[in-house]
Amino acid sequence: MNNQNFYRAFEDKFRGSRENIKSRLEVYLPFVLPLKEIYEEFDVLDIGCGRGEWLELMSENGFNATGVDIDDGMLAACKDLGLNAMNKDALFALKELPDESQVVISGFHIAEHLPFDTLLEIVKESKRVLKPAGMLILETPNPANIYVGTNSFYFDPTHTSPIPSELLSFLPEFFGYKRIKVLGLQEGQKENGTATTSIFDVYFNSSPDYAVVAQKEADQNILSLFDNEFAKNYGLSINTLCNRFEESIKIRFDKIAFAARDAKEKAQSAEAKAQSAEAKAQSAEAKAQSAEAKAQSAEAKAQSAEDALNAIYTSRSWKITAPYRILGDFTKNSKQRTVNVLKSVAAKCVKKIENYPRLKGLTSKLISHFPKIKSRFNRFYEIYYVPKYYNDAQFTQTCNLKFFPLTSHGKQIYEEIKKEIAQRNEAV
Amino acid sequence: MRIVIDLQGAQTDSRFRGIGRYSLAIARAIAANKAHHEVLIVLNASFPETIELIRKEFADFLPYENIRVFDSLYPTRESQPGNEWRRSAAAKIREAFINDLNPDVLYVTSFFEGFIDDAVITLGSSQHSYPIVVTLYDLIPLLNPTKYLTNKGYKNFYLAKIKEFTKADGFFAISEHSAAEAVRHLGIKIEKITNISGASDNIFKINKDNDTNILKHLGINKPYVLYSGGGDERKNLLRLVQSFAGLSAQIMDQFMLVLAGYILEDEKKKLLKEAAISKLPLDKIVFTEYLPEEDLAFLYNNCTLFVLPSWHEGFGLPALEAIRCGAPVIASNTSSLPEVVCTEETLFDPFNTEDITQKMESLLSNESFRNEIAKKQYNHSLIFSWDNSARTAINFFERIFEKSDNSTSASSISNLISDIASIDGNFNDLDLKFAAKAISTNHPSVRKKQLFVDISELIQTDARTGVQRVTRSILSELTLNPPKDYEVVPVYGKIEETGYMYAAPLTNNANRRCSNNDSEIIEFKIGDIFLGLDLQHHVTRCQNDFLKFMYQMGVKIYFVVYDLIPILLPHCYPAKHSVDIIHTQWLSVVSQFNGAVCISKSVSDELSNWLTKNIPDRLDFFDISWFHLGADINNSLPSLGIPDDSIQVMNAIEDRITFLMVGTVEPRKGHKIVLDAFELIWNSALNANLVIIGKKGWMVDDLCVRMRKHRENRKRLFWLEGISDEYLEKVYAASSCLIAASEGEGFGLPLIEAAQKKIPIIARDIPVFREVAGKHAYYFSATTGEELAESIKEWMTLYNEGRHPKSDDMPWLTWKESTKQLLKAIGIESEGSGSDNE
Repeated sequence: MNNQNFYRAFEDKFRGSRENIKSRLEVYLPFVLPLKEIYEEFDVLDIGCGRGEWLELMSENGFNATGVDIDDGMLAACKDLGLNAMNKDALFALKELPDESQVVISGFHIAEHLPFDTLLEIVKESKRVLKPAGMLILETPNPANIYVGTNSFYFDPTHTSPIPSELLSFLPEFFGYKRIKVLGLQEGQKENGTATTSIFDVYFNSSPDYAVVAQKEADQNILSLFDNEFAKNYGLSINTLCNRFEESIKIRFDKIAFAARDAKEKAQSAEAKAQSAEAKAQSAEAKAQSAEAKAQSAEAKAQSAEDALNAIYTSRSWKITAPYRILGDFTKNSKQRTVNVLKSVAAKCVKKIENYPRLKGLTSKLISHFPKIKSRFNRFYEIYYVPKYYNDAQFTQTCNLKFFPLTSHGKQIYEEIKKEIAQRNEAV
Repeated sequence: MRIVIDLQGAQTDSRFRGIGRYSLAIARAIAANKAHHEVLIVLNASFPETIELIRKEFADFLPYENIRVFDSLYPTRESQPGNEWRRSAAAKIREAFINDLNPDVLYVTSFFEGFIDDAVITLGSSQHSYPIVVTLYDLIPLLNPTKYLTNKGYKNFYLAKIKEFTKADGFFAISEHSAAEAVRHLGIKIEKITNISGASDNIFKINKDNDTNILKHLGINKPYVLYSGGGDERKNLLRLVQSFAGLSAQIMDQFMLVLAGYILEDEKKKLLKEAAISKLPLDKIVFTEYLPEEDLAFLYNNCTLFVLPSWHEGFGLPALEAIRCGAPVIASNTSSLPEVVCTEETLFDPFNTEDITQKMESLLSNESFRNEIAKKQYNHSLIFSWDNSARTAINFFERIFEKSDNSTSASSISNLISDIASIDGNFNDLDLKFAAKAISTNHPSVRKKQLFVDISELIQTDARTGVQRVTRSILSELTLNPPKDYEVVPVYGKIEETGYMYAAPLTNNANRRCSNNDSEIIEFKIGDIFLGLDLQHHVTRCQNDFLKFMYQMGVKIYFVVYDLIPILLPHCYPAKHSVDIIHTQWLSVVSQFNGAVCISKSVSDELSNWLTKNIPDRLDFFDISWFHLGADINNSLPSLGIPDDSIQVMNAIEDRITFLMVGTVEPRKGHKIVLDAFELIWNSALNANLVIIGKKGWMVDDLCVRMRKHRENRKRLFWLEGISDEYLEKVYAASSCLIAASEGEGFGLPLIEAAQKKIPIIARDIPVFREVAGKHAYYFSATTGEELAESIKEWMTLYNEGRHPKSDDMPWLTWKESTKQLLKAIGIESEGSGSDNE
């Protein structure tokens, strides 16, 4: 394999696919597109143009793009795509150009390959060559990313030394560019919230590349076209990630603290409960014994009550005369205290009658001969007989919300609803 | 910030399931963690049996008045055709009720209620100005319609509910997974939803009790692998059975599979069939049916391994419960389960039985691995606590409250009436009446707190017994010096009509509402107090429904209990009057409410005993306290009149030492034993009078004949029936000693009367006399005339030497002090009138 192709193969493996690179470069478009509104001619120069992704993107957007590189393998790729690229030294190419002839000068991943003095010269020459408001773009690996600064920067043996963004951005400042913007690029972690930030993120996921975009002096109203882009923030700094990591550690500690407190409270309450449970257990035992005794006696009583009832209800004469006996007795007696007692007996009587439909028929026939008794009987019947709502078709019509007479406030509301409904019906 | 929580989800049938329990737990935790916020709970009166229990759940965290119940219409359930009008009306009624509470945020714990029950939950019209937050448990029916939305009626209900649901202002999810589902399937914006997670009940904890009886009872006879939950398809039990059947022979031999929970019969059949196909012996599977939580906790604690193979859960509570009980858990790696079961090595693909088998086998064959997993899972589970969930919820409320424009738009009753009048659909007159009742109950026109005082007997018949004297005295004290913040409202009920009514003014100086209110039903509201002061057994029983309704709506209801004598001493009454039955029934009605105020500590002890023995369930709810009656009768009008024969009587009384008995002549009062004793005394050398004052009562015919025909009658034995107060004064003044021989009393006013007249007392040794008279009386515990005669002789010896207990310094209360005690017992602190006399 030809040595000259090494760099191209390397770039193919580590820098990423053509399409990928091209799409990454689109981040600069907002900085350069307004230049087309200002000038009629828009020549751009890309130094170290490599496979020509930027040249292609610029051409697609109507710029007149020229590239220079000293790697023939790369240049071949550009030629294949019909891009304008030639083998020339970067500084030499710049020096050839007339004053104020270019709108953009760019160098992607070139600065880290050059001796510092050459870089200095390039920034200086660019200032001369750029039209007013023209842009110098220099992109390079970001040594502030711990992985990049300690490791991946050295993947490329032709790299000389990493350039901190503070240094690279000072160059255009020193040579009098109007304004300078540092863009963090290609960070792995997007806005994902604080809760999931890990130490891995801190090491690997701050912006691995950055760019310095420097703009040459021009009229204020021209410069203002670019204000938006210069105002925005780009990238994810390692400081932000450290803060997020701290935050997420803090949340985790809080959770543990809560849990610990919770556990302590529970232990205390558990102890208290254990004591009370012991006491309850003792009382429960006592209750269980008494319950057993009661159950036995209740069973005995139930049996004897059933026997007694059967004896009574099978006696026909008792059936017919019972209401007389009880209600008759009741009507004779006028003393309130006795009345109260008898009322309850009457209530029982009503219930009994209700449970024996045949008996009900007989008694009602009989008492119809005695109107006074009958009216009394009916009144008590209404009071003490509670209909069973829950077990039949009446269910829908009746309610478990018992209906009571309305309060005066309620009556008034009732009348108002009726009135409104009547009015509405009339209107229809 | 005022947080209003609609807690109908804890009232419907859901209360027996996870959602209801979750609703209650999160609402409780919010109340417990409310800090400076105010929390109100809204309940629906259509579920009367749930209200008291829920109130109790919040008793430690919220004031009684913060549980607000709205009266609704019934029935409104959507599964039943014909409820449309009522449902719409009920929705408006609920919204108006909540608007009236003026919430800063409304939280609905369970939105999908109202299909088979009568809950009414809507987001309402745009009228409300406060944000509404709802909880999403899961979207299982929406995502599995062919399995869970087969009933057409339910499908329509559910889909309409889903549509409305998404319009809420904020959402709580119970897991990260359910939050993600809401975002993905309902298009809910991510910033509107937060995961507040869930927690398990405290009953689920590590408890190494070894009560093998429970296991034996359930048919579990070897170490077991446990599952708990339902049996519907997503629970994936068929694969669980298959996987269990796939265990190696060596492991299989040691374990059985226990499926705990409510699994339907045909689901069971399918599982057993599957077991047969998989060649799994049928005695390897045990179904436990639905278990109470304590038993379930026991099963978790004692299982070797817990498996939750469900492929879709909203949270996965059974897994958390098992982990909290110290069990190692393996579960499916889908939906929310990985959030609860944190250990990756115990998650399996629920559709891959080999994977399930392999995970089971790896744990069952390695005890130290199980312990390690259980420990890890337990530690992780500590992040699930109701307090954490509540704090997250409250933070969310704070955030959403800041964002909302809190312009209050007070809704008026007239708007509500118009809204209801404009509802289309079929209704009848009764529906309108119920609507009017609900509106008037939910939006009372009376603002001031009311103290309803029941004077049913006094106003209607006035039996003029001791009870009515008490009623009259306390009512008069209350009307003259009403407690601060309360309006005193005398009311009465009838036997034949439901509802208490305003009573006409009793005295001219009473400051009462105008009389055209009489025979109108009382208007009550939360914060009011009902005091059953008068004793009218039948009225109270007939007003049971009305009292219950008041109680549910938040009126506190207390009854004064005068005694339990009819129950404790039934032999003192004619059997045919069944007073014991009537009194028992009365107490059963009374004990459904907030409490009883007894007229002495002795009665309160008796009532506590009675309740413990007969209705122990009420002990936790029913508050029993006591007060003492007043004894300053100066303000009541004494009756006048001295009969002609009084001179002869008074002469005899003044001739020798006179013992006095005051009170109706009835078996309980002990006249017989006293007469027996005096016959012996008269036969001895002692010379003494016995004067009995009181009307003839019941069951004393023989005794009365004996007294009238007694050889000492009108010599040394005097029975004065129905004498005036004026005459009584004179007799008292001439007497030397009061004998109180009663076997049972509620209080013992005659003792105080004697003390006021500085007359010494001989009293039967019963608790209430000890309570009233203390060291200021001489006590006897005789059961025969001979023994009593001895006691009286002993007293006379002391008396002659001046060493008998004196009653002069016996303490007693005025009606003012008595009323103050009574008010305190029902939670009304009268303002500092300082210490009056003793």
